[in-house]
Amino acid sequence: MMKLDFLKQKKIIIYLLIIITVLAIDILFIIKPQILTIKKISPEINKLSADLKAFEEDKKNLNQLKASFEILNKKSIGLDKRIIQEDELLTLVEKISKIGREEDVKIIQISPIEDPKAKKISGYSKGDIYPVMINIYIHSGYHQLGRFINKLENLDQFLKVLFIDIKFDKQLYTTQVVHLTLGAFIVK
Amino acid sequence: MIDINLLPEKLKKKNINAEFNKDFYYNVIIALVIILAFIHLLIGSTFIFKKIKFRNLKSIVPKIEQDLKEISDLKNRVKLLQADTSKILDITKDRMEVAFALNRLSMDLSNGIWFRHLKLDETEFELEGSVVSLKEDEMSLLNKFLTSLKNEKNIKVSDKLELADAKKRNFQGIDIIDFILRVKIK
Repeated sequence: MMKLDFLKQKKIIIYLLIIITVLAIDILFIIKPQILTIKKISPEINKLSADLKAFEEDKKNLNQLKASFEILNKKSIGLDKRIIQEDELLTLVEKISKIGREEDVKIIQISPIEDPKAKKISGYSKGDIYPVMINIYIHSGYHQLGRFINKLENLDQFLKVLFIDIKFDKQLYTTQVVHLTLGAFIVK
Repeated sequence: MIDINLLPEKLKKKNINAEFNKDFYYNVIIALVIILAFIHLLIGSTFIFKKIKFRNLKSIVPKIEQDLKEISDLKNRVKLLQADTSKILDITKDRMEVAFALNRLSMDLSNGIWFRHLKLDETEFELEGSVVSLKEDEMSLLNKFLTSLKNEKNIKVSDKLELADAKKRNFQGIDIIDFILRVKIK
């Protein structure tokens, strides 16, 4: 009787071992690799699907995208001129002198100053932008000065009056002594 | 060992536990097999579905690669242009219209007022001048001038312009008021 029970128990243990082995093989070599593959490709599928959806959307709006590029491109050509190249600074100074002559403004002294402490402005694709100053000493009439500054403010290149000091001369009523500091931007 | 049980058949103790265990084990094994089959079905079908979908999506990519590149390039260029444009607009937006302000100052100037010194920088505007009136209403002339400047909507912070100083002096028997108008910009 004891022997019979022992044999039965042995049989059950063998069955259990077979079941566990089959389960282990199944989990390790079939289910696990499938789950891992699903886990791996699911984000790729999501990304590809999203990319394709975006592509379809972009393709639909391609003409619109091209049009907005053209508009931006034209706008940026105009805006790019506001920031001058480093080697164009002297040309700008020359231009200011020419405008001075045209507006009957006597420029006594004009000099660009590059501030060594000036902080560069990043985030522009063509290089770093640096602020520069142009110091001008002038003898001119009030209205001539107004017209001169108006022309400077309306140049393609950006010029900003940072400082202006007008001394109204007691002797020469129509001529003022002016110290003008302009600000501009150069790209390096 | 010989087991002798002389009890009648009815009263003999049956091995209920063994039968119960046998049935129980069978049921458990069948349930396990069903659960396993269900898991296999679920994971297997998901696996096949995902694999097919992935392969299909992958096969589309080479066909649209050219268009994809073109669109992506265009989008990058638009993004770059937008960034450049907004950068330039951002750094060049803050500008005082000085020519316009000078023009307005001269237009608002009444007879009897003249300027002696004008100074403007990024923090302050200061105007020194003098006023004279034969009708002896220098202060009202000055107030009129100040009010007209304050009401100038196109000049930034003109409404905050204040009379900082006014001093009366006499020049060859005529009263003259020297004034200073000032406004803090920042």
